Amino acid sequence: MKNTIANLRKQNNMTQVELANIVNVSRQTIISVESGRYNPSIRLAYDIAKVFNKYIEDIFDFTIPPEEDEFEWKK
Amino acid sequence: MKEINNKFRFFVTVFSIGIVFLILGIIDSNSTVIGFGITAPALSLIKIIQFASLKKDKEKAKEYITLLKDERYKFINAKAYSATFWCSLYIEFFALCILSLIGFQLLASVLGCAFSLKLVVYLLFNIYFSKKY
Repeated sequence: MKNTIANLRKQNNMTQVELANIVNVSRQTIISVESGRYNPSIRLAYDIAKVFNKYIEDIFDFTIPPEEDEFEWKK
Repeated sequence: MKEINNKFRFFVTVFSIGIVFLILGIIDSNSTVIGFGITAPALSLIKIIQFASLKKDKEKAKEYITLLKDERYKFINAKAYSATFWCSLYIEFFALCILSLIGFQLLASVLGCAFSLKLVVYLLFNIYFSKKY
């Protein structure tokens, strides 16, 4: 899931370690969330949003890409 | 710190049990028991050293405890457990097919029972968790 955590962190002069310590996760988790490889739980997403004083939907991109219609090729 | 102390005590216990097995294996000249008596203490000794050093370093201990409770870490472990379970099922299935083809019927039957039991247990847990959640 795309997100703006890295930008928000840099705007607030915060390192990944500092953010990880605040929300009580490991630095690897923050790295994975920022790169979009790992989708955080709602609790973690809320905690991260609270750190930057934003809403979850302002940080995470919930736009689901249109999936390929599995029967499209049969048409 | 409590988690680290508990794990330290656990691995000290495993180490001790391993040593007992080693002694019994040597007395009984049982290579299987000796094998366990060497492997268990060796692996637990590594963990004992790790946890002993964590007990001395509070910063690293804090990092370790954070990692244990980390949701991504739990997610990865759950995925690894699931993948291991399904891989072992496939391996057992192919092994029992091959064993029955080459004439080891008894081994194939035992493996087939273990394979079937795993599937039944999986289905039961699936039903249970479907109702629970």
